[in-house]
Amino acid sequence: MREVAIIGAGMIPFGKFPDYPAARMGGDAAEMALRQAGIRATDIEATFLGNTGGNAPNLAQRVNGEIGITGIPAFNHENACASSSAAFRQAVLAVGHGMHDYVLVVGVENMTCHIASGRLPSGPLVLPHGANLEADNGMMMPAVFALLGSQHMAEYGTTREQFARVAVKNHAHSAHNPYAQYRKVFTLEEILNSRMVCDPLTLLQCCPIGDGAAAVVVTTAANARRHTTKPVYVAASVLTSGKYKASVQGAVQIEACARAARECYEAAGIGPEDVDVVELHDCFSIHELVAYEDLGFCPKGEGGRFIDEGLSDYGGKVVVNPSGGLLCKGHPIGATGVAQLVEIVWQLQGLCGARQVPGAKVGLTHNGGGFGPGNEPGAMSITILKV
Amino acid sequence: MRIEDGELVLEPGEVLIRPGIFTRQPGDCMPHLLGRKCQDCGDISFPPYRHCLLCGSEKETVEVVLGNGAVLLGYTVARQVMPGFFPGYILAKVRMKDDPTLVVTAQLVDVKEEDVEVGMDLVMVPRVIRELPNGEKVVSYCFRPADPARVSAAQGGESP
Repeated sequence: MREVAIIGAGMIPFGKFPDYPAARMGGDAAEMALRQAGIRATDIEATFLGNTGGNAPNLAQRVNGEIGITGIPAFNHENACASSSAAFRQAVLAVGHGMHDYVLVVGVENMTCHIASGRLPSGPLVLPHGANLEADNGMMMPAVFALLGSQHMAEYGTTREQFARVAVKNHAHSAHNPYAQYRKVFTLEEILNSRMVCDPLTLLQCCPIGDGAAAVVVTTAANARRHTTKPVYVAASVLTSGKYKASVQGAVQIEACARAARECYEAAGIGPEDVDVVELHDCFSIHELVAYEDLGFCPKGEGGRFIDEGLSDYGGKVVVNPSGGLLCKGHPIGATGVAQLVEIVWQLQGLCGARQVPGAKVGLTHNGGGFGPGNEPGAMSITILKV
Repeated sequence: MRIEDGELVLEPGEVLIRPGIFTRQPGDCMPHLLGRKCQDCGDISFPPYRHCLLCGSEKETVEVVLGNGAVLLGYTVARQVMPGFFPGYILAKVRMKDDPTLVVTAQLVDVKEEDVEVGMDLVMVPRVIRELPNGEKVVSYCFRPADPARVSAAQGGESP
């Protein structure tokens, strides 16, 4: 496979935009990515888009239409919260295997439109799909992770304060990110005392509803050096799905994450100790703490100690969610995977200002999508980027 | 809903969460859940799957009556709930005693929050868990403590 690189990254600041159509948001993010890449829209040979399917059919084509691209292959991907990571992975394969030389990857979601149309309930209670028996029994997305947190507390003695410290850290990071939906710093007490949603998850430990779009331009490593002095190389990108019955046999973990991470490290020839910066799927604070372990940053059961000792913050072992993460940057579902890539690209290019991770050379994105029986994720995507 | 000789009988205005999910087990005064069992590795699925999720056997799974015993793996109290659900319900992840890989998520009933403990033994009981917009009450499988000392007043339905 040819080595693949990202030469342009762009995103719109996330927020709530009921009157900003998804295609327009995607087009605006794509224009920013093209501008950074220094190529024309008409240089793009194919578009890969992630959206959870609600905003419009043929959304990739509609985004193309916003920026003047017609007559090329356009692919629309749905994989719940990992929709645009799936699109990116397919784009990497298309370029890597010589099908295309320049492709555009877009992630976009307008969730406030979903709510206005009745497709999603309002508030922080996004439900799993209605066809899911567990959802009909009262399961909600926060509860998926609250249950995992309850298991982690019972098995390893993790405390609700340790989960809340993840939110303290990510809210603090968000203050320096002009692209974040929320940029407010909170104390541990404020996080713990915010409204209880699902024990032990309080409101400030749950990601918000929001709208947004992000885009990257992907090409070969050989082409990349002609366009930029700061290409970011794709060391490996892995997408897998849950085994559904595997987690319950062993330790308290997200098995698909641990498995995808192992595969990704092996393919990249990079270990967790080499990673400088991570954009991690902190849809709920508990997910981040458990993922420290599944991604190999600390031994199983020591996620609580990892956050207590500041090892996932500036000056620690690896900076996790410098953007503020899903908790604060926001989580417009289909946009999230590519938005994580955009932050890592900018971090590795040294463009992040006050939130810059000093000397970052290797970055990782971790993006889960949906869940199935046994609370295993539907999709799990891990990508490692390097300079 | 009521239970007559081990059979679940719905009252007018009540519906099952899924048709055909409960069955009567001769000799037992309580209804049971119907799952499916792999003909090759013996792994049990619930909700029922047509093919085995553990070994991927090509043979279709066959129907199996589940035992009612379970162990509590984790729980949460839902303070903010979807329309039709009763606020403050306890949602539980349980491991069925039939099969170490069989984990089910359902509501925990007939217990005070302070008496809930991870690792406690549970038994399956049917209960009304929500009300639909048309007023119908949904009957589903729930779990309650196996130890009578932990059981508090029944909620959401009749205690057998």
